[in-house]
Amino acid sequence: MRYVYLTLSALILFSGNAWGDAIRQTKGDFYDAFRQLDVDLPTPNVYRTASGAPGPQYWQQRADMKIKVTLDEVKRRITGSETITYTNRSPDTLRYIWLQLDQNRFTDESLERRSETAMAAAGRSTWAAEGKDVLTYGTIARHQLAKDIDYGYEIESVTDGRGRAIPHTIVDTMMRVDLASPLAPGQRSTISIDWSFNIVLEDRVNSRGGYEIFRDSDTYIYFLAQWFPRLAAYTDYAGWQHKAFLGSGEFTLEFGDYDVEITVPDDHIVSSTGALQNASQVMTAEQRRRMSAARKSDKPIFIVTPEEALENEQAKSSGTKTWKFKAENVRDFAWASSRKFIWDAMIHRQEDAKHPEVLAMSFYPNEAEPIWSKYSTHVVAHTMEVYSRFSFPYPYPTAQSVNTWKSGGMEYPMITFNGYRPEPFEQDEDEPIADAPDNTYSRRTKYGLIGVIIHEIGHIYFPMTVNSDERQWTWMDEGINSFLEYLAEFEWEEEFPAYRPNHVNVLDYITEYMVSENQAPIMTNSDSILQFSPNAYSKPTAALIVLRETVMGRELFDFAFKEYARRWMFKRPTPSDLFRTMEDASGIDLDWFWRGWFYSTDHVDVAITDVREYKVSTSNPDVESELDRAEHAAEVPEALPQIRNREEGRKTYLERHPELADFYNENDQFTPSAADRNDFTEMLDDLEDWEYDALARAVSEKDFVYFMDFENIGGLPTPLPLLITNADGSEDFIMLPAEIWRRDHKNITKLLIRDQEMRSVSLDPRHETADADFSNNHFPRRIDKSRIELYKSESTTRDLMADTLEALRTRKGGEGGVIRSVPLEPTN
Amino acid sequence: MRVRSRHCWQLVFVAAALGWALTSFAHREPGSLTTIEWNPATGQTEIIHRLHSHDAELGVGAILDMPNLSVLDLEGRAYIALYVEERFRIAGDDGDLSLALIGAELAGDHILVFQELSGRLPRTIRVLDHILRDVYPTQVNLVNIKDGESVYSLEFSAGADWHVYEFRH
Repeated sequence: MRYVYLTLSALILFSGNAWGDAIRQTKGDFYDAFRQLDVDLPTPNVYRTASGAPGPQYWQQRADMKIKVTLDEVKRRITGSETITYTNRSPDTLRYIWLQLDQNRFTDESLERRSETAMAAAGRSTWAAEGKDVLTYGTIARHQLAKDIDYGYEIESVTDGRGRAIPHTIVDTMMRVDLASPLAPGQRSTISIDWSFNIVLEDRVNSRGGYEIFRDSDTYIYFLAQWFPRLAAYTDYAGWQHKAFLGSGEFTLEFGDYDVEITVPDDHIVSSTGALQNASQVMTAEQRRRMSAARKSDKPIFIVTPEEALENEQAKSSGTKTWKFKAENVRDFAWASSRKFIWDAMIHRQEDAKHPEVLAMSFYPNEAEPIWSKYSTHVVAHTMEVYSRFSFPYPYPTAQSVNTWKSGGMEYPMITFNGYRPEPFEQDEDEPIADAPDNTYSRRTKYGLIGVIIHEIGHIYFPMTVNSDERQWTWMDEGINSFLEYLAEFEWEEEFPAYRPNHVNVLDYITEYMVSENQAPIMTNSDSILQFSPNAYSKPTAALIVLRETVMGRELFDFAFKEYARRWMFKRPTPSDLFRTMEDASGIDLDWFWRGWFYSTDHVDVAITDVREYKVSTSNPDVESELDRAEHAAEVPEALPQIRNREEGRKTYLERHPELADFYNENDQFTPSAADRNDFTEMLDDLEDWEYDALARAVSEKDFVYFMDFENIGGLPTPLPLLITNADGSEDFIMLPAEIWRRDHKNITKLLIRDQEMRSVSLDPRHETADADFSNNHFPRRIDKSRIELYKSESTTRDLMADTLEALRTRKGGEGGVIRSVPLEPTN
Repeated sequence: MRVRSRHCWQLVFVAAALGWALTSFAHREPGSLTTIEWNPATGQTEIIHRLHSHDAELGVGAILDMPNLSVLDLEGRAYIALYVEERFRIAGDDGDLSLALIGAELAGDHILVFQELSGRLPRTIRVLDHILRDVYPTQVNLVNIKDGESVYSLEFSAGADWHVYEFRH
């Protein structure tokens, strides 16, 4: 060794906190980031196995539905009757069953409405900005709507199979039906319900279904979701689902076959869950001819053209038509109806015996053109292609995208409601364009639309088929689905602007959330999450990307993930089933990963704190002394006064009196002494033969030895991808696995022996670990510029913006506030 | 419709007419992120607001009654920057701190609005973040404050008015 670097391990001063747990102890600083997760997961049983599969006695309930429903367009009202055949496949005898009445959320007496504070009604920022006692236009209009119209279910009758009334109790958005006789395991019960309700105006009430008004043309789109009393879930892990619907936590439901007859004005077009059963009665001969062509086409073909839809929406009919749909094995049912709909369709072919051909379709008004006819149905087909490769063939005969609102999206089996529309084209008065389009759309509208359709169609796989429980765990479907959406976006086109176009990397996007103090672990119940979107959508996406690309590798990840999807399609998985399956099918211990990413709020931030370079020393004082002297000279340059004295020609006293020189003037401190040489000889004598050979070879091969210190600042164990740049400019990529942190989760030192000198090293150069701070990822350290510094360095952009800001400020006349507000009026 | 207060009867309508709850459940929650960080290299406290472009266009467009407001135009970005400037405040003991509006730029799906304060923030600050909350009732704004090696967050949602933050480092 040329010099000895002594590291004293840091003394850990224990803070006196006596609260230890299995991971963090009260003595010492051992932190068990790699502790087995099995001890915290539910005990495996006959329903769910330790390998994450459905157990030998796995069960779930079944609810088959027959529904007849009528849309009264004049009254904006739904009237329906349903017959539920409920099959008790649980091992328990049931004396009552629960249904969900989600329309009750909109009544003035609902738990949601009654618990709404004045501030929540006003919008909290408005409340705070305006001081106390604020009433917004929105609240007033919402109130007036409620005064004019009673919302919520009107349950007209609940009867059993023989038509006898059965007692029922409504508890906010839930209804308990007391069975005449207990329902034993394996038995069926039939319940019939007649109901009606007034449809909510979607943009006033903030709902998942309702109707939309196009006020300029007095035309409407109806889209019905949560529109019939639905069976609540009864499960092996939670019994009856008993949480009221407060508007955020979505649904978990039972599978069943649906037979639904929808009666609407006879000039409406209906899009619905299921397959149409009576095309000859509801479609014209021309429409059916076009549909036959679409069933052979791999590009969308209009069933109803934009021109026909425009013509259709200007006429109003007084007659009705009944559209009949059947859907097998679905957990929910939704539909949309309007005379405004343009309708296109194409065929999507897949390797599947049951559904070799899937009809991809879109329904949208002329206001959504031209972007919808160009992209929507293609995106539906693309989504199925990508998702099926990662999971299972698309399990239904149709997949539909319906434009029902300006932004946002919502999913149901075989049908999705999607937002994003172009903007009306505004003519420039000075330079009118003769052949201007009616509508234009921005880049964001385009990619927003493609993104939302992928996302919502993707939900038909998760959770409509892999039926995870969104009331309990939002991330299980939103997170997995956002992950697959992200993959499908990469496969739509390169540089797809998901999250950010310059990076296209969710792992850079998520770090701002993950470093924040204000967050809950992913494994937090849906209703208690602090920040819904990053917790349930983007953080799980980031986690699964790290898992697939960096921790497991694509082959192992894809195999295990597909196994999870196959095991749980048409069944109801819990988080532990996912965690266990991914480990079981890949042969990789991921307990540390689930714990870090899903059970903790740690983030990824590893710093390269030091790199020390050594050469293997010959220990021969005659060789080493020269090297030591040169090293000293490099580290301690000659003193400036001494140099300048020499330059001035000044002679030292010694130079003028050379007779004063002695032994110490002839030999510096590096000159080896006889004792040094004796020590060297003794050392060689003590070496075993193999040790002597190893030393001799290492010296002759001139190996470089590196000790690299890493500090885990974020706390989350992570693999360490390293890019090493060698002295000759060549590069080597090394991946150190996450298990390197198992004995010390904070500080580790890695030893590397290399045959070349290292010029620099970068940690995570491909941005694949979600590292939150890249300023500490380089050795030697690099100085990074902040985003604002970069912005200011682009002088043209900066100056143009400064001028514009100034101009706009002047235009406003220096008045503060761009908020438009009505003046106050004292009344007494 | 009257709203009673102790001193007088007031009729207050706040212009949220175009802002009725724009729907976005299953896809994306409306929200903005603001980061506040001291940059020792420049001696400035840097404030970066990140808004979804689509939300900002629709929201600020509704407030300004400019339905065609676009983040693709320099002027559109400037309007949004000025709007953000008015909806975001930091105060010290002596009242509001004067933040310089540097500009705005696009970053993918987002628009970034930049503000700076010369020097460091006082030890105790009060923060008010009303960005887009006059349009989107469910808007949740997160302010991340870098304090030493840690990041602390202020969330502006239900009931949130001014938040007080005391620097630890």
